[in-house]
Amino acid sequence: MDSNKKINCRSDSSSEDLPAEKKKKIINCLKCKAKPHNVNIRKNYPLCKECFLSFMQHKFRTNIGQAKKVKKGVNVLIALSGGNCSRALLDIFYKYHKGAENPKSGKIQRFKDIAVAYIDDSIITGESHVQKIKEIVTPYDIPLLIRPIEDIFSISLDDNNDNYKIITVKNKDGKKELEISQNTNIDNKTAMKELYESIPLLADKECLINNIRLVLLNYMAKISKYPVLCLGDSSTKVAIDVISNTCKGRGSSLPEDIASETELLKDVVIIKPGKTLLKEEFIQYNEYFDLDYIPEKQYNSSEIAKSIDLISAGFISDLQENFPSTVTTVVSTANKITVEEENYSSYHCSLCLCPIRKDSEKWLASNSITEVKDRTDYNYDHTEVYKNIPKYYQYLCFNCHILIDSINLQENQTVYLPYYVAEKINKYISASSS
Amino acid sequence: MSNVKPNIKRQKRVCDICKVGKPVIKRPKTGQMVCKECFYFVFEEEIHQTIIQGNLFKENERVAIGASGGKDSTVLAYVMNLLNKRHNYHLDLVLLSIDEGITGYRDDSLETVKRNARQYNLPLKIVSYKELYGWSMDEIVKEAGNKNNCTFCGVLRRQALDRGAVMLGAKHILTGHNADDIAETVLMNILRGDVPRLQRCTFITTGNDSMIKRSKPFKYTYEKEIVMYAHYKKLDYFSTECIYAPNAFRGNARVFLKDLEKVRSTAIMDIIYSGESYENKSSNTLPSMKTCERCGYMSSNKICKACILLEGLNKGLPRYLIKKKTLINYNFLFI
Repeated sequence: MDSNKKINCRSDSSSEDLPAEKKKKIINCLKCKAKPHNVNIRKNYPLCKECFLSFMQHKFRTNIGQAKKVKKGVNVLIALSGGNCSRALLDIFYKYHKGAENPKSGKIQRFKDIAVAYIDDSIITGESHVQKIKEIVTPYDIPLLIRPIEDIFSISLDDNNDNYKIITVKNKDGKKELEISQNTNIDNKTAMKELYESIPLLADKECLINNIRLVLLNYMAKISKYPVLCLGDSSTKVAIDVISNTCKGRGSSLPEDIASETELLKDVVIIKPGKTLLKEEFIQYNEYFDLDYIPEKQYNSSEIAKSIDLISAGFISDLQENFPSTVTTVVSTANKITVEEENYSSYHCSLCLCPIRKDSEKWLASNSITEVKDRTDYNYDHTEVYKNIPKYYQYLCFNCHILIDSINLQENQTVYLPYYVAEKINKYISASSS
Repeated sequence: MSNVKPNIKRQKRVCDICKVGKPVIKRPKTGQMVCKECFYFVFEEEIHQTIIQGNLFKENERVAIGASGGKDSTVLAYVMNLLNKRHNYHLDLVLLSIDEGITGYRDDSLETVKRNARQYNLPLKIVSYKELYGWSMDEIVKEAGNKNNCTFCGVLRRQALDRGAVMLGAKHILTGHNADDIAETVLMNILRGDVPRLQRCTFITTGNDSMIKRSKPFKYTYEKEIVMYAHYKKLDYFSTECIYAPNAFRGNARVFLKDLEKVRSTAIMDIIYSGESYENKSSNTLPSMKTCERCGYMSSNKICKACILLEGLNKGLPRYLIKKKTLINYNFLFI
């Protein structure tokens, strides 16, 4: 009744103009041009529900199609965190895979088998989502591989299982040192917890967990014979990573970190087929299909103030609100960034497995003076400061220097690093001695 | 009781470098607490190291220091004068100031520069917009309005510095850009999608192939330390913001950077490290250095941006030329 009244009111003033005016207000879908739009996440790109879903599928297909390192007929392991993006991506991937299974569809089946991988980090977060993950994956009837994050302490990337060596971080003469020693039976859970708790800053904890999670996922893909690992990164996540990695001093490996396809571990290609889709689009997708996901953890302002990732996320989302092309601009800028291979060492970081810039070891020391022998002597030798650079800097990238430096040990306390770090360091030592 | 007293004394914090002096500043770059004397030493000598590692100068070179009277350029003039004598660079230093013609801001800061020139015994050259272009910033703002006036000022100042350097016979200009400025620029170039500038903004020297090169000796020097140095050395500087300056986009990046610094004070150095790694796949996007057909100064196009903006002002179309959509053929202006 109310609406009729309104129409009547208007018709009194200009009855002839009304139909045209009303038509103008309904914005039709930009693709089919037939139905009114339901979604307008990208601003100036209104789509109806059907066109939006086919747009998502299309973007996903294009990204998969552009992955040149991925061979046909291989198995794919889909990493699932349970969050909005990876949840929606699992559904899209499954539909894409099943759609091609039907010979009548006329589509080429690109992959053989698909499975889901989940890293259970309940030991750190204190909350277990395993049950929820099982509920999410069960309807798809595909294998689900679950490994707790502390398993990182019992994996070998080189298959030298009998030669396990542990690496300890300890204080020696007031300086931090990494020491490789023979295997003693350490409890994975305790080691993981102690390592995590020895890092005071949330920003560094994030770095550690991200590194470990990615290595463990790669390892799972490798041993379970899945040559392709699919990550659920959205465009928004990539844009946040670009900013936060820049701020953490991880810029030297940015092209690897955000690449649509990359190889961190030999024989495992990492792909990010959601890289051109916004987080809001995944959320909308989940809403349309009523898909259940694990809600994001809510942080209070004091926690946000200690995390570079969370500050970057806030920064990007604020900008995105006022300038809707921020995320796409940041991602496309980052796609154009390359690194000069000449400046990089052939050896990769022992902890995060990313390339190391040759000057990273001395970079900070060369730009700062921390010791002065005589304040009146201006002809000092600045290169002397290089002697004080911790030995472990040579095995690690710039960002991982910061990470290991941040480990705060109590008196006589030692913490352990995963085995694979020791393997990598041993490799480096034997390669440099030969 | 007598045993307790010395213990309390020992607990007093001492300088992390000399282990004697009373610490007055926590260095954001290294996290050390240092005394005044050690701070002076490391501050000055780090700049010296940056100069040596960047191979900035040739002997007997005439070098113009861009001096605005603000904290950065005042400290730059003081430190360059000091290091030139201490480490025998044999440089012929001169101060170069630009008078944009902003009443209540630049006229006061120029007085500071004049005093600095007398204190450090350095020659000073002041070049004014009015003299070079026939327009002062106050007049431009009247004509173009309050929006986008930084575009005019920035473009014109860049060229005015070049012109001033040519008048002084200097082929090298030093600017007071500090580590915070560079980190901010890295972030802004990522957000703006400006890959060529993202690559260039961390270079310590730019314009190597052009007639005048520019260097940033404060590339690794924190703004906070510059302020503290100026404060402890009681340097005479002018600290008012430009009256036309509310720069929203840079402001965003600045607030973000301050939040980051609270998490980890070395974040600024980490951003510069990241920025130095960034290269570009193709060199096609880099504009080649040309000479403006009208004024003969550096330009990346046939006619430089300064000439286009000035012509717009002279023809009464100032705002029209800043909009991106109108980046078309400007020939109509010059008919």
